[in-house]
Amino acid sequence: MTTLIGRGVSPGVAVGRAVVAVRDARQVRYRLATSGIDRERQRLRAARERTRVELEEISSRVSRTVGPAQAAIFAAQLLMLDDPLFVRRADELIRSERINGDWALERAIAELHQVFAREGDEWLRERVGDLADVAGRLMRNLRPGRDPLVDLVHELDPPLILVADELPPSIAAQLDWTRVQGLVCDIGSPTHHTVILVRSLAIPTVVGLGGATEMLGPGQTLALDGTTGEVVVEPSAEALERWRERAQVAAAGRRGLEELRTRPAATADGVRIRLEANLGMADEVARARDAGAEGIGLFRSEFLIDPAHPDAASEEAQFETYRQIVDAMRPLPVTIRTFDAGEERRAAARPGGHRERFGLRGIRAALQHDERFRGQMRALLRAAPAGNLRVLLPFVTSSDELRAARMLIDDIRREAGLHATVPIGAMIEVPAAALTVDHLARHADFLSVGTNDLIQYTLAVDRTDERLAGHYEPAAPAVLRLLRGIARAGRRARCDLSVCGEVAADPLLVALLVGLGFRTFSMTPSAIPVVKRSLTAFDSHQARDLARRALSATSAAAVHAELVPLAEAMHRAAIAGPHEITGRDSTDATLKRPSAS
Amino acid sequence: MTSRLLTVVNELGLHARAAARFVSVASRFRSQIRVTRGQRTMDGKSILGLLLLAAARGSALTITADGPDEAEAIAALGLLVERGFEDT
Repeated sequence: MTTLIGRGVSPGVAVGRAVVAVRDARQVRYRLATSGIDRERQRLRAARERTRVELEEISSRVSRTVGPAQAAIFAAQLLMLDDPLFVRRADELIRSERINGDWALERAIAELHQVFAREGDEWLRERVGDLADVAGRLMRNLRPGRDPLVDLVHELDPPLILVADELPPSIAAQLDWTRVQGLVCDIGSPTHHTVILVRSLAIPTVVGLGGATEMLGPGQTLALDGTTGEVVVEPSAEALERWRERAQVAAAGRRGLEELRTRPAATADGVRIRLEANLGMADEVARARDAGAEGIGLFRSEFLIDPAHPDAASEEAQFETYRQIVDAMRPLPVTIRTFDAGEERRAAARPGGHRERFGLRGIRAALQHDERFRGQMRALLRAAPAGNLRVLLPFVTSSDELRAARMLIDDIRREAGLHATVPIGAMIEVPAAALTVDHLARHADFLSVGTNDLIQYTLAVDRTDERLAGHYEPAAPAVLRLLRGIARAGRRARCDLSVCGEVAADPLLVALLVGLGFRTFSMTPSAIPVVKRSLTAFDSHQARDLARRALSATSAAAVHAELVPLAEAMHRAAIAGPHEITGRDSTDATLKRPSAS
Repeated sequence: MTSRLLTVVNELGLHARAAARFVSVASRFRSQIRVTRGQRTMDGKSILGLLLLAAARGSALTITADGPDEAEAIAALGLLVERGFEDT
């Protein structure tokens, strides 16, 4: 039993098993249960095969465009995938040490590094770069297209204590905080957005331990006190008992979340807010329903594409998946976004990354020649009668595109002899769309704001570029102005408008967006109960005042400072009993204020 | 078990591309392949292992094969090294 002392920044007591996340939560470390070993080895094998496909593709492209000599480097990388000292060594470590794939790869590399560094040969040290490149690819492919930590938290048995070097707010907002019950972080000042966020969620948090990710081991039992800053490692049996009792008192508020599930979401003064779920995989539908989602606000269909055969997405398989989701959610709406090549390739091929980002993707690809889009539209139109299906077109930049896409969809319907009509919506995710919402609204049945891309394009920040980690800032003045413009134009056009980016899972930013006039949000399912509870901590007038102050702030930091009092109010709502939370009958209040905004 | 002593003749030594060729050829055989330089022995089917041998031009390598096709393996790999990994 060791006790470490850091700085308590969010009060409360938590006990749980440590999960460690490093490199801005891109990499995770945890201990496997014996039953999880096979699945983890299978995951590593699948990652290796995905990586093989990617490298073969890059190698043949480089060979064609640059020359076979330059492609040789990828031949060496391909061989590393089958190397007994690397991926096979990692596989061995998963079995013998019962550690997860990321960590096993990390350890295998560390072993190689030691030998490589001993050699002292400069030429040899350069090979380390190749190795790191392959390792990065493998790690991304362990959980393709997903945030590893967010994904992992759903797999492990709660209660968990997250130990991170730094936790970016965008990841923090996506985590299931009913499973992660405490946070230990190296970096984090009281004004850091993640800290404000965990306070609003009443998650006991200790920061400033310096090297916590090295001192605390995955799988260790930790107890922490977010007031005193104590972190106890492997407490003795009696100590653990005492900590658990204290933790239970602290967790009382969390139980209220379950009671909130069937209540409609509304602000303290009864302005009705609609909370929907984002979905990556079809098998998450149950999670969305359990969380009390009022629909699927975003289904990212590119997850149906097999990266090995990107052009051969089977129409039948798609139809079956769409039909099942729509049927499972009936009568609630299910919004399916058509394939977005930019998203699907994000994890792949570094070379040409910019071409994918700004290139022929989304609606652009659909309008030019895309047979794959025709197949997808047929599958969607066939699935439509199963329930309430809506089709969302990504990467729209002008109303002309939208009009052309509608004509194309009519064409596809006639050709296939189908009769179903579906609402067609446009993603607002590039500034060009954000500034022409009035035009787009004339041709769209609904609009959905994709804040992740909108923030990237507005601030010229590539989120995959680790050097720019601090530049991605949802509360930046330019972003808030664009969002205000979108909300205003949407309201004037009486167009159905929702927000489906990561910001929708952040209760504080949701309050700000409510103040700007947004009423529908789509988020990761686990965030729904938490956001719902936080809505009860403020009324629509406070939200509007907050938005007004935020809009006059000249920096994101100033906006975060404005959020602090709200975080305190949310904190009080979180630790209050469920009766206090649901004291007001929000359904009645909705009738009194039908469209306050 | 069959082995053979060879000298690295190509200018760049056993660098990434050469090691890649060696592993590709070695992997065609069922026999276990080992490559020794000085005190260090590596799996001949491991590109990282071969790189770690850091065999520059003029280095002496002992290639050992053990298995049903060891003679063929040694012949093919010996030829590869003698020809400088078909490098120019």
